[in-house]
Amino acid sequence: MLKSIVIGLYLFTLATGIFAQSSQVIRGKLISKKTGEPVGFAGIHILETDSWTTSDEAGTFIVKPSDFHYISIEVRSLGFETYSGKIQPLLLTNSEIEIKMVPISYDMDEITVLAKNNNGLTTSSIIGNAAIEHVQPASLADVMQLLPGNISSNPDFGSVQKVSIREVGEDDNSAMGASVLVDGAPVSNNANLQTYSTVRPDNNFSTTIGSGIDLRQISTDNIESVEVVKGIPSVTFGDLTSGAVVIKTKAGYTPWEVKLKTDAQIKQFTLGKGFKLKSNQSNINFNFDYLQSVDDLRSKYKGFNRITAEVGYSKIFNLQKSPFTYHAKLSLFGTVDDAKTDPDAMVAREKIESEERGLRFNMYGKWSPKMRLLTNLDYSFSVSYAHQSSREERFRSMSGIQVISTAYTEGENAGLFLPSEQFTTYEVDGKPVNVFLQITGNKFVNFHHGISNKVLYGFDYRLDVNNGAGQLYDISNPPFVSTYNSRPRRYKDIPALRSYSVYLEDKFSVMFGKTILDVQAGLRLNNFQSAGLFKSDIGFYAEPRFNAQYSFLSKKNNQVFDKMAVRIGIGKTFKSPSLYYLYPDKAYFDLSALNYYVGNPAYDTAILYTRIFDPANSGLKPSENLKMEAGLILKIKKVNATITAFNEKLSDGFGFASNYVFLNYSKYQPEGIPPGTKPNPEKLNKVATTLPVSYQVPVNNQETQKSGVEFSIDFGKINSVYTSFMLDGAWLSTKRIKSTIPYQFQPSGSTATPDLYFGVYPSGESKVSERLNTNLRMVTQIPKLRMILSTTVQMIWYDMYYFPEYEKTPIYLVNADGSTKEFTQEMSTNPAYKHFVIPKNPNLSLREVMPPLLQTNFRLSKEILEKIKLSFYVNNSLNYRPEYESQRAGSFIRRNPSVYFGAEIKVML
Amino acid sequence: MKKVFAIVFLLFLFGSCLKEPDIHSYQVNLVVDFGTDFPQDQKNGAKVTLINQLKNYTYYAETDKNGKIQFSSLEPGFYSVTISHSFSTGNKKHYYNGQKNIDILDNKTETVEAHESLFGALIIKEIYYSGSTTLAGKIYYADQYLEIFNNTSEIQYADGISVLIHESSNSGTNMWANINDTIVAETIWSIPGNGTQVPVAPGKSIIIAQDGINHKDDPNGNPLSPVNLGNADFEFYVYKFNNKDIDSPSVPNMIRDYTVDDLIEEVTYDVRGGSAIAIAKIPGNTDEERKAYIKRNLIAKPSSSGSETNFYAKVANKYLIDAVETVKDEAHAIYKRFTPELDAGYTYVTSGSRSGKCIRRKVKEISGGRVIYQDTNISTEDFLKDVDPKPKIYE
Repeated sequence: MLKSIVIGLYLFTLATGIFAQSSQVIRGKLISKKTGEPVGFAGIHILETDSWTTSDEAGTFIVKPSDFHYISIEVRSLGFETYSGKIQPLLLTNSEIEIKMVPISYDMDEITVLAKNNNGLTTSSIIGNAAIEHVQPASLADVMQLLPGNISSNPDFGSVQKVSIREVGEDDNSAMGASVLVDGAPVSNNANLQTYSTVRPDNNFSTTIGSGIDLRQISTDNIESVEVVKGIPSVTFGDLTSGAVVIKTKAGYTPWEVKLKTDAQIKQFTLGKGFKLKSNQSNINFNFDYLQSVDDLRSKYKGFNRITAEVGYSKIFNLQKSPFTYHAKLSLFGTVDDAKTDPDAMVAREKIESEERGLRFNMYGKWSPKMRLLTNLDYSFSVSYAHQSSREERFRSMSGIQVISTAYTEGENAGLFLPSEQFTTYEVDGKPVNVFLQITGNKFVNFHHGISNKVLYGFDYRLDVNNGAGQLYDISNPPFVSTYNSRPRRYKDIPALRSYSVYLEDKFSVMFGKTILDVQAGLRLNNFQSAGLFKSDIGFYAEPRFNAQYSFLSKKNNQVFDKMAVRIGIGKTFKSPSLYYLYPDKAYFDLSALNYYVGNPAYDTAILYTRIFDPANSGLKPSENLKMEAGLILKIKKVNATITAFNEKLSDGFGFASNYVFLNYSKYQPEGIPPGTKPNPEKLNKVATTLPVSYQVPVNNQETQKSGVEFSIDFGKINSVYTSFMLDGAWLSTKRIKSTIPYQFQPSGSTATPDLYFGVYPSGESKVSERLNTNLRMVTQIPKLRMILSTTVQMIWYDMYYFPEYEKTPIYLVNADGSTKEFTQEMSTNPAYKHFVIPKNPNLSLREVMPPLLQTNFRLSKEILEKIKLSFYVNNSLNYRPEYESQRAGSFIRRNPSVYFGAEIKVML
Repeated sequence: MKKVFAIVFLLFLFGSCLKEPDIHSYQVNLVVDFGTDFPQDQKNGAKVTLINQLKNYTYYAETDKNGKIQFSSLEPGFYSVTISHSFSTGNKKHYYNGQKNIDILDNKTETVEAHESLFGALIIKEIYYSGSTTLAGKIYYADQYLEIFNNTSEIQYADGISVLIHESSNSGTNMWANINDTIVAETIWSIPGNGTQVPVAPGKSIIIAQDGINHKDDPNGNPLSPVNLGNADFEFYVYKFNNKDIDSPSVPNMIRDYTVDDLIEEVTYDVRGGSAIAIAKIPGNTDEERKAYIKRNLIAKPSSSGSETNFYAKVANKYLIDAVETVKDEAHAIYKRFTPELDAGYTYVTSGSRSGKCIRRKVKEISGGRVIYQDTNISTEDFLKDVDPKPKIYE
């Protein structure tokens, strides 16, 4: 699949030595191109037959020949560029080939420091080890900038960083639907419940509840490669909508590596080593990373700290006959987001902190039993446990005395007068546990006459549960007093989310004359929140996925093109709602029935009437994405180009919508209470009152429509200037619909008596963003100087957004008794109803078209001998930051990030 | 050759020193337009104050018999002109005020209009809007109040008097500036009564509190608050089911006539001084008639984000009794909202929010033990800044 990745390599590393050997096998030997030493324990993959093996300590391996004219061979080993090439088995049977592997060292010509397109069936970008290192990332968020269509920004640890794939900007549903997989197992955010209350979404601490994972948490120094799956993924990927980020961590020998990195915000220290245990053909990898970041150097009171430590063990059993690999990894991580009070500016003792500590155990590998129904078996199991703790210590300063209820049951209860200022603390204690198990088998059959077929089948199982103590605070001294109050809840009492999926996929390749058709078609069946094998609480959802590629031009049938292929894909994906949307907190309304305050605790009396609503929505569906794409792949000599047009519709995204109810209760009349006595409610007059209130219910009301064209042209290296050129970019159009279903709303009135009806407004409020950008990336590599300089010239040619007009007149009104009446034209001028029409500001639908924008970034890395590597980068080196005057608001927007630079030193021992 | 260069260089150096300093000064003729009905013989002696807004220095002068004055050498810049004039015809005293911002970048003649000012029997004596500091260093503003004073020798009735807060929050241009004869209010609350229930004795006042409790001593209040409002005459009480505001049974509540947002949880003045406050007698003999007048005079303002539009209430200037232009600071004085006939000046608490300080009228005279406060309708001159709140203390 990765056969075209390193085109340049294969040309000259192709089979270099031939020796006569014993019958019916191809013997191979891997050596380092630089030192000539054998490369042991490298993974060797034959793409056509999907068979694989590994090299032994002496670097030798054996491949069974097959009846293909050519076989594509791919060799991966830590510390070396991935090798891919084609060999002709017929010529090499009973002989030995020697493959020279290129170590990642700046005195070697061939290393890759840019993202590469995968020219296989699924559209994806692959970012290798050297590329990751050259970006000088502090977290995965920085690596994502290498994708065509993404624009560069400065490292930011001040707030949560979310994944954004094929879109302008980011949104929670799209980020939630981007699955980040580390060594085959997803990093799940499904059990994240870090919020003060699900009905009060604006938290002071940082949290990723209801969204995707925080990319800041993923350190990059132990990463061997990142593949971003943008197109239609294989059926083995599930519980996602927008795409997948597939991370492979390092396994194998590495020298001791110590890295120090610094820039205006960040200080980072990493230490890593891969040990080779020669006695039993296994490796132990170890990595430690510590990062400290402050938002603003001038005021070091808001910051982010991260510590990660990983130990991995990998072993290969039964090397020659039916190999079996086993990887086990234990990772520990801790992150702290904190905001202390600046003693000069704020109040002492106040503090906001969000801390997460976790443990993740991962086990994965594959087995090649070569049985009748099973060529290969992949397995992956992971269990993770984290302790998330979000804390705040603050003064609840309300400027005035307020009444609250502490009741957990409905009905009248005595209220509590809160002092106008009180020191409060609260903690949100979450302990998400995520379990993932996946087993995939495949069977490869090679029919003759150029037809081969591979069947893939398997299942996965996911469990997400939160064992935390939940929201912890004193309900008689709550940190907030809000419109509708909440009460703390134990997360342990919330049910788990259990889902399983089965899948089947067929991939075949047919040769028609000199052209090749590759087809991948599969079906994945999900049972989200399974109540048993054949019972489901959310439902069964089938995901058909299809990819095809037709290579109609090749060297064999024309002189100009080395390759020309078209590909199409269409597929569906689903993402199950997370615990946050499935099990929201109850909404409490504490209605004031009597408020009598004289400043004497003996007489002060408050009576409240509490009503409780459960906002859970049993009809909540998973969010759904329908992806379609078509692309063209071109290769002429050194130039390699791909262009892909896509259209995605992410519908049924999760959100919250208001649900209005009319509450009937009695207010006590305080008149006639004799001064100097405690009011006796039984003797007071009551007045029946009806009050409209609303609470938030989770619904499927968000939609993101993404379409665009992304392209990448790799011009190869021009040797005379030591520079390779690559142009990539994308035209992206993103439409985000805020509400796809009619919603309830009551505009604020101006009088003391509330309206006893609310409006139901039509759906359709949306925002459209479009952007065309190109990145010209020039990589100058001078092996003699052991130096790489990459220059990125980013042009945003066109950047536009607007809010399409939408109807802001209610469709109908709903009265307190449940009856409805149509909202007529006449009502929009009637003083009693006209405030229900929400006139639009005419400026709102103006198009904000921002002029072209240039940004230049430089990255320089230099090795001093073998042992030391110095790197430096500067973003927006010209500090070109034009202002754009917003059409609708008249305010100015500063475009481009500010000039930013940093450096790192890496010592290899 | 070198010598020549040195000489040329020196000449150049001294040449630049010898150049005339680039200072301009301009002559400005001001004409005060008192309107057509104004008695010709009273035009002299009107006080003219010219403030350089950038450098904050002031010129004082008086008009000649034609109502004119000439300033001969003014440095270029932005100035604010204030006219204040008073005279008596028979036993009636007339006050004329005017205000205009002018930019002096050339010799020019400017006309400044002056209008006859309101002269109310009831005046705003004190506004405490800045709030106080809590023990934790945060803000406490439930102790805000407004004091209305009887500046005459006869008993006055405050029944049906409304308290208005101007819509513009002093952070930008007042978008209603083109409507000269009305103000646009976001909040209107009125004193209950049938016309004779709220008497204000000569030289006495009433307090309208945000919360009528003893802020200073109540354990649930704020020990650093400067005031006890337990004996306030009225309080703003917003009934919300979720109890943001408390109701003190001993202090009667104001009547809620108009509040833009029903989500508001209490009536507050901007603690930084952005609320321009007026008192008015809105037409209507009953609460319902008054509310009906307000409802007939609503005007829409689309919000800049476009998401929501609110309606505000127009109240004609002729119904206003007193208006005090409070601004955030000197820089925000350009966003003044009240026209010169309502308030030709402005004032504010210079020590800012949380300071626990207020603005209070200067005492003009004490006549027979009764304090008379200064009311020239120029708040810049009428008010003391940064004084300690003294509700119901007249000094």
